[in-house]
Amino acid sequence: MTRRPPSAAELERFASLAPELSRLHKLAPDKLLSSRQVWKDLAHSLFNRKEFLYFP
Amino acid sequence: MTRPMTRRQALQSASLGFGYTAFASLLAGKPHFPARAKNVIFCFMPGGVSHVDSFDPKPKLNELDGQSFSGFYQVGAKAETNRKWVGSPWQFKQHGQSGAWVSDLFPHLATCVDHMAIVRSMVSGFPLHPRANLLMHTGRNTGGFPSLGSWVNYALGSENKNLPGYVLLHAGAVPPGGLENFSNGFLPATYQATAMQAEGKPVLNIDPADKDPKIQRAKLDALLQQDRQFLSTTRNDDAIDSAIRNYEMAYTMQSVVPDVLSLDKESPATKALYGLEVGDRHQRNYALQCLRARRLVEAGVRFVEITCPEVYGGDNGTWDQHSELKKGHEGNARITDQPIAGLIKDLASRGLLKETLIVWATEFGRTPHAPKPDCRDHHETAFTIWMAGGGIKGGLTYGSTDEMGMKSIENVTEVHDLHATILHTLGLDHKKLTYRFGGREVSLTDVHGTLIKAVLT
Repeated sequence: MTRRPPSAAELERFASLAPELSRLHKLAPDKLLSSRQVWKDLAHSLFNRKEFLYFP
Repeated sequence: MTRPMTRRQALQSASLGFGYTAFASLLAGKPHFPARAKNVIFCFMPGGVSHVDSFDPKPKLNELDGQSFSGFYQVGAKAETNRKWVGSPWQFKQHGQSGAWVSDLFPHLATCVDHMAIVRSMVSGFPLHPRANLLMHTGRNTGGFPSLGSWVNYALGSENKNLPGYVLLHAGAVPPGGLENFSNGFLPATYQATAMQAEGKPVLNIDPADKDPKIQRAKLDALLQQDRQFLSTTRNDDAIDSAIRNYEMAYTMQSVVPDVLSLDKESPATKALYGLEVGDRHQRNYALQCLRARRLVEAGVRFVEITCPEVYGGDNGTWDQHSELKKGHEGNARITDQPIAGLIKDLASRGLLKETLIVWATEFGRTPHAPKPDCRDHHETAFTIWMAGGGIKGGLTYGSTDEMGMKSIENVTEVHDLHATILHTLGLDHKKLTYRFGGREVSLTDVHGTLIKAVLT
């Protein structure tokens, strides 16, 4: 893991991605936090980061 | 020097940072001089095709068939004695207007000899598969160096920004020497081969996990932003840069590759030409890869290598007939002969052969003598390759071996010479195509390499 807290830009990026994914999955706004699919997508995007895969 | 300026250097100096992928094709390297060929299709025959059974007839060898071989032969720790000359079980005939000699092994290729420059005087220096394969692919007999396809990709880039510049078409087998044969070595990782298999999905993991492309793009955009940010903290580390670009390349390939590899628009006559619908599974797979090779170079892929399925010869390359020479060589020839001949004819009929170089090569030849009948061992002092198409004089036989096929004796040609000549057809000077590594300018041919001028147009 990165052993660092998320930057403000990263928090903002994923905070906007979550509702966007929710919209694309055609979910009601109140279903976002409980949507397995949205959080799966977020994790998919997050854990594919090169920062997790490469140690130069 | 090197190249006038690498794409990477150009883009970095222009401070574009990562976002240059879309411009890559526009900034592809230029040849050093006008090229005769735009693309290369490398038909590699792993295991060691017997020169004295294919393109280099030796009547004297047939005369002495079964008689004792008095020379010295050693590959392992102990010299082998009690070996005998082995005549060829195949008949040779002259073909085409050029009258080139081809054995019965290759009835279809025999109809293409007027396109081919056959080099009978190759030498390798390495009688074992891994080192000889690596030499043929990378110009070195050890791993860690860029393959020929990577050098070409580095020098010229892909003509199609949605496809890689170097594609390996395989049927599941990796020749000895391993994936190092297709490696980028110390060149940036983006220049390595992209593998496409014959059976099943050509490119593994290419299907998007997300059924909705908008969802996929949203996730990839977030990932891209994260990765760009990370890249900037690593002084633009090459491995990360290449991995990011590979992701983007994979994304574009998702839509492009199925169309490029689809044979739906190929006519029954074209499919028949390659032998796509006859023979067994292995021949069909090889034919499929040959037809795909044509489609890939049409789409702008710069360098395509096709390897053979591993059907005979254990795991040392399918042409490695230490026993059952007749069965193995006939089987391999049946698998590859019609598809490659079909490829030559198809390219010629479309006007593409003049700008596509086809190289047919193996890592070494096979001994004219053996400890038992119907077998031959490794032979690095004489073997045959041929080239056809862009920049190559057809209907030519170059160099010769002695009367038994033991040694190349006239116009002896090294693998570095072959590499220099291939680069030349693409408009590249092998001495100028270098990359700084380990404190020096390193090239494919190192301090070696002489053009085979006689085969060039």
